[in-house]
Amino acid sequence: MKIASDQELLLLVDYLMGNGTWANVTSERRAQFSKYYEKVWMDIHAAGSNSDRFSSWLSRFALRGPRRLLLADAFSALLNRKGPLRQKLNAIVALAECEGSLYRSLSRVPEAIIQTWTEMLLIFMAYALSLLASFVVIPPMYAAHLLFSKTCPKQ
Amino acid sequence: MPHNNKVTIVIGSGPSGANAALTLLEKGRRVVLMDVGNEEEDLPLKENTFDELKMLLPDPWQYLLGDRLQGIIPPGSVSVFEYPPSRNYLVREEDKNLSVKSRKAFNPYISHNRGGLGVAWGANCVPFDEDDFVGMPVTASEFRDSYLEMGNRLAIAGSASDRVGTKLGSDTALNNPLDLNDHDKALLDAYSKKSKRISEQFGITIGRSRMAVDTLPGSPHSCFYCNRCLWGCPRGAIYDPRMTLRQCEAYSAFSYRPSTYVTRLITSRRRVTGVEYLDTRTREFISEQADLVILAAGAIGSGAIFLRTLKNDSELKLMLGNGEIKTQSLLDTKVVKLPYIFLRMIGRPISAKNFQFNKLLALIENNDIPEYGRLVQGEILSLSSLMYHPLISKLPFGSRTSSKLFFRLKPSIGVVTIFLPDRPYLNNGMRLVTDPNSAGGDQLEFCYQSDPRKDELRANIVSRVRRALRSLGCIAPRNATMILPDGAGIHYAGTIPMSEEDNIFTLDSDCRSRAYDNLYVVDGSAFPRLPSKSLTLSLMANSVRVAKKL
Repeated sequence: MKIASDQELLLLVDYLMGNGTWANVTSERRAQFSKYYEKVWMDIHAAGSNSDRFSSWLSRFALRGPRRLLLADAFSALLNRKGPLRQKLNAIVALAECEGSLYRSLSRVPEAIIQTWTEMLLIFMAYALSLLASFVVIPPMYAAHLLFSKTCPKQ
Repeated sequence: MPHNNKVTIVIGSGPSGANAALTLLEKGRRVVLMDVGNEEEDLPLKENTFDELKMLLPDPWQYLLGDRLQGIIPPGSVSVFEYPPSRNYLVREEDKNLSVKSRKAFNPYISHNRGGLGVAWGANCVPFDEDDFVGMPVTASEFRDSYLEMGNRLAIAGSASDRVGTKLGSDTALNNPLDLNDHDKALLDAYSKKSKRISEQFGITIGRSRMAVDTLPGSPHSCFYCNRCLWGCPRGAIYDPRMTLRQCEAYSAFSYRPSTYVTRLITSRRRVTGVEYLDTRTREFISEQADLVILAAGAIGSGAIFLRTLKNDSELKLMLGNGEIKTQSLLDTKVVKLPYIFLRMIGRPISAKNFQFNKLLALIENNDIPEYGRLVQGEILSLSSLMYHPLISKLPFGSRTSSKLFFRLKPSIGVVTIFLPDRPYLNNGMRLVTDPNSAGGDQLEFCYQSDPRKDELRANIVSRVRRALRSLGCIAPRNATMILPDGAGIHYAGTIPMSEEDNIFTLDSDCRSRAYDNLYVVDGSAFPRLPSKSLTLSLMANSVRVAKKL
């Protein structure tokens, strides 16, 4: 039985390496990648009984769409570094760096030096904005979740 | 060549065991080499680079991360590097034959593979000088011939004429130094423009590394810069002791005995009469007679065999009375890693064809803490082909931002790895405690405390290296410095040292045991002090020196 959904994988890969990356990987490699991600997923969720309620919620929140993932990625890098979301993102990077075409997408950099510096500046600014937004969005969302859900089963 | 009928048993197939065996065979001796001898799997796609493996291997994940994905280092882990899963058995931390009681004080790597830890060494090849031999009952001149001999056995790449080469001197012939990548070239170039200032102000000299790597043009083993050094050199360009074992196998007087885990020596009246070993296939204990035994199972392995032998020797136990059975000392080079960013290299392209280990060497003068020797060695390595996810997850941003930044910075990232020398300190050593579940019936227990003077040396060296890097246009963030735990240096020594002190736990200057007349110890155990330089070349030279006298 397949546990980790293909949609989750598509979301994470395209978020980290750019839209359309997953679609460009050959079907054979995609199947292998999915098999290994499944293993990671099961390991993380088997250890999930030790993760706190917020970490589990943040992971579920993040995997509902790219915008939420962007906010949760920034937020968890600061305040939830060992949570399941970070483990999944780390595993996707680790798995991607082993495969030729995914590694090329992951490590793609501009050729001109000036463009590299400009891009780095933009990356920093985008990160600062998403971090700021995450602090505005995530705590109230979690508070609302706690308020409206009588039970919050652990993942 | 006529054989001497006496059999010499060599225990261990690492750099010292293999070279001692070859020297004895050249002298016409009969040699039995006992070894656990786990074999390495054949390396895949030998003509391809590291990056090409990711495209061409049918299952690159299995090779690069392991079938249980054990190569994935989780976020928040202290470690940023693990030995590749495909080679992990080389330096496994736990072994069912040899059990370690606690790894808190000292966390050693143990290898039971054919070629020992020498199969995974960093290939740095600098001989000890007069200063390095201070405090040892031997001199540099006594080692000279064996260094020359090792120069003939290994292909050593390096430069005798650059600043490091001039400082180190060289008796052995050197082949062309390894090609530098753009990062290393730019760093060396920046250094040459400021060498006088860096030398005067910080006491640091930078130049080409001296490596046991075949760079001879036209040689079938010549390095082709595939960037796979860490994953096992597919060309055999980097020396490893299995090459010497293959030379030994050409002698009819040589017998290689794999699957033998030697537990102790059998003794009588202060002589070794035999060897007791566990056949790792049948799990049976077997004894074999011996005329002469050479211990070369590595400082920890040999130390364990020696202690177990003493424990079972009623005559010596009587002599020791209530005295503790413990090794004379325990040494390892403390490792400090200083990552840096070379600003000039940000955004520059970097070739996929590279040599993964350090191509540059820094010699750092130590005038403040003389008991630790005159020079400390730093290996300068630019990042070329590792698994990067542990480094990406260490950056203080989200995963997407971190990976984008990391690959833009990658051509500019380098690491200076500093190896701090070691000397006997307080009660540092190892002993055996009873454990009926292990093959030898015991566990190893380590006692290791760091000398505060060494910590002073570390602070001094790190501060100078960081300032020198800054003057070369690099940033070495203070909080990125990594001080590896004790035991991570993998240059273990000093457990049964050469000494002028006449007690049964030591060796004389010819590495003959003072406990048993016909026992010699030729691995790292024999070195009573540990200079900053890589030990491997010197322990091979020592094994040749000792074997020539037998």
